[in-house]
Amino acid sequence: MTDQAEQGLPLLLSIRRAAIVCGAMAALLCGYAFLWSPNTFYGSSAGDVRDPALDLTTLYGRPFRLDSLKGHAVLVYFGYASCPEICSTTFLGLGHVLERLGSRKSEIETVFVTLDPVADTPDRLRQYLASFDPPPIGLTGSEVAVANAARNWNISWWRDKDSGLINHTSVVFLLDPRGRLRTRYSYSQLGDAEAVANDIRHVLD
Amino acid sequence: MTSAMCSTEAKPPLGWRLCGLLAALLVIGVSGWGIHNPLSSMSLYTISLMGLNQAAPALLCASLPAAWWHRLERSPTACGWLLDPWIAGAAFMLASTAIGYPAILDPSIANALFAAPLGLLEFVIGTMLWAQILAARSTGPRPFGICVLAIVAGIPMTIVSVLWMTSPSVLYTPYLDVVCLWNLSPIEDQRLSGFIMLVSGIPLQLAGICKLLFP
Repeated sequence: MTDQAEQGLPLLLSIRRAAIVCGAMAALLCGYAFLWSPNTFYGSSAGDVRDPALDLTTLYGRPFRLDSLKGHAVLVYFGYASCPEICSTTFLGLGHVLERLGSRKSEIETVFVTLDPVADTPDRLRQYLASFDPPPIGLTGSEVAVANAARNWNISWWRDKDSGLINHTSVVFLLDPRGRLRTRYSYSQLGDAEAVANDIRHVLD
Repeated sequence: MTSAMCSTEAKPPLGWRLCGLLAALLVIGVSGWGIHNPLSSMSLYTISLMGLNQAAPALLCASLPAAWWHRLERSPTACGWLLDPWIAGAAFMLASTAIGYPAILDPSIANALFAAPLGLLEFVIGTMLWAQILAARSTGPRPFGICVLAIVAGIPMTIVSVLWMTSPSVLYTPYLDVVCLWNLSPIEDQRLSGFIMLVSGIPLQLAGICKLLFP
C-alpha cells in the first residue's frame, strides 16, 4: 500500500479532482450533443426503426412501396379518420410546415396510414384526407398488415372499450429522398413549424 | 469522507460470488437491451438505466474478489481517481441530475444525448460509488464517511424521482405523444419511472446506513 493511501488523500486534492472529473463529464456530454450525436435534427431520434417499410395498399387498391417515393422527402403518420382531434391537428400543423417550404413543397410527400382499416374504408379515408392541403397518400391493408407495419415503426395503439376511440402514438416520421428514416416529431414539436421546415430543407439539400 | 485504513475484508463464499457475478452480467445484458429504444417507454428506459447504475454495480462490487480490489488500490492513478470517494460522489450526483432531469438542459441537447452511451456512463459511475460501499478493499472511507457519501450522493436522484412522481406535466416532450408500453399515458409513465428511480435508490442509502451500524 502506498504511503499516500495509508495517510489518506488530502481533501483539497480530492475536491480538485472531483471538480475536474465533473467538468470533463459535463464537457463530454455537451460535446457529444453538439459534435458527435447522430441526431442533429430539431426532431427526436427515431429510435430503433431500422428498416422502414410500408407494404400496404393505396386507397385505389394498388400495392404501395416506399421506394416509389424516392427522390422526395416523405412524412409518415399513423392515425385514423374518426380521431376526434390529434390526427387532424397534426396534419394542420404539417400544413403550416409545408407552407414555409414554398416552392419546395413539391419535393415532399405525406403519407397517412390508417390504424383502423375496418372502419376507414377507402372512400371514407379519401374523403377525410381530401380536407388537408396537400392531401396525403392514404394507405390501408388487412388488420394484420396494418398491425405489422405499425409494429415495425414502433407505433403503439389500443382501442378504448368504452369510447371506441383509438389511443395511439402520434408522431410524424421524416424520411430523406433516399428513403432513410432521419427523425420524428411529436405533436408538440410540430408547433415550431420553422424548425421542422429547416429539418426538411436539410434532408432535401 | 477522507480515505483511511479500514478493514472491509468480507469474504463471501466463492459460490455466492460467482452467482453475484453472473447476476451482474445478466443485469448488464438485459439493461443494455432495454436502453436500445429510449423513446418506447420512459419506465423501461429508467429500469434499464437503474439496472446499469445500481443493480449491476452493486452485484459486481460485492462479487469481485478482494485480491482484484487490492491490485486496483496498488495502482496510484486508479486509487487516486477511480476509488476517490469525492470523485465518485460528485460524478454520481452530476449524472443523476443531468441525465435524470433533462429539462434543465436545452431540449436539443437532451434530445441528442438520448443517442449517447449514457448506459455506459451510468454503469461506470454507479460502480465507482458502490465500490466505496461494498468492495472488499483494504483502504477506503470510514463507516461514517461511507454513510454520509451514500446518503448525500443519493439525494439528487431522490429529488429527481420525486419531481417525476409529482409533476403535473410531462417533463420531457419527446414522450408527450407516445403510447408507452403497458398502455400507459405519458404522465403515468413518468410517474412510474419516478417510483422506479426512488425504489432503486433506496438500497444505496440503506447500504450506507448498514455500513455505519454494522461496520
